[in-house]
Amino acid sequence: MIDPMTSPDLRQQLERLYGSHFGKIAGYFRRCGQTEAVAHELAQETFVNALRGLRGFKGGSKLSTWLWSIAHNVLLAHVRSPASREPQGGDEPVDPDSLMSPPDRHLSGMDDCVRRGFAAFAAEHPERAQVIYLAVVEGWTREELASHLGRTVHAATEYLSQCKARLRPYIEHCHGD
Amino acid sequence: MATEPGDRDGEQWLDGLAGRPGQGAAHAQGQRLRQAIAPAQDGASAPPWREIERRAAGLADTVPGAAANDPLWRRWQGWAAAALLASAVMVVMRSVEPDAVERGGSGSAPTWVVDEPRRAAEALAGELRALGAAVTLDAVGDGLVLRIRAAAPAVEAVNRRLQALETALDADGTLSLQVRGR
Repeated sequence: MIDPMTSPDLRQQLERLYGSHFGKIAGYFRRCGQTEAVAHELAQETFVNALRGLRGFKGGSKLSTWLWSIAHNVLLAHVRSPASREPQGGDEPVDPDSLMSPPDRHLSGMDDCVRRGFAAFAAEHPERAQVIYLAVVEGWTREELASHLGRTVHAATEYLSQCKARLRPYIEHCHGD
Repeated sequence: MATEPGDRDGEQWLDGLAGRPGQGAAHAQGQRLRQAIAPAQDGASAPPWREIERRAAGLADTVPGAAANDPLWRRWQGWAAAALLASAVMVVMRSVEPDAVERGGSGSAPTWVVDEPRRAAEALAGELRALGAAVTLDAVGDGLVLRIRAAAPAVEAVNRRLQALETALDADGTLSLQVRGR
């Protein structure tokens, strides 16, 4: 339900973010392994949820940061829903190549390999995947990264190094040529 | 604060990810990852903002906030639940016949009965969007409702697709299509 008490300024800000961020957020869902149609739907759902909950935004962070946290929650809710659950065992490590469905086999090149690896990584480490994706689309500095994570700059850099190390097994074979 | 080697590596990687100039192996790795996962410029086209506002407002019909404590509203919820249950029973009874995959409803919204409602609804929504329609998906009970709206240029193509489901857009270019499991 849209709260009529929501500040018109905030609604305008969110509408502006809709223009600048819809593609980024749909891209995020896509990179996390969702189909084009699902990514499009989840991006809409993100903005619908943001608009409904706008009054809950207290201004402690940037509106875009708050929006990304909603996107993250939308993704988690989707992947935890019975409809989206894959029939494979949950405790087994994910082999990135196993995510390549038959129609994808024609895909070639390093970028496609990295995308599949990143999607597999996102399935296992959704929060770390979002941090990496945000660094790409928002062009974060270390200070902005630290602000998003609520950590010191040093701790945030350490966290980023851990992200890099954990991602490596998923994509290192892509650069094997 | 002095920068440690691990910090430098992480900072170079972050610079590469963020598209800032830099050098070193970590920066190159970040750049390669950026190139692969950055969204395409011609990526998803957003439906009009009005559509988002409409969907956000639409929840008011199903989750009425403070009104949920109103006894009269609760009585209506009871009736609505009973009506939903009755229609679900009708759908199940009507889908007993083999090959009863698609149904045009004779009363309210047409109902499409499939094995995997979400998958089918999302696939159809994707197809219709590609044809120029604005489509939203709402969970209703154990099924979904596709709310389809098409402007004049897209109506013909959308109707051609809907024809396979034995239904069509209304005169005002809209259609609510229920999708339910068998």
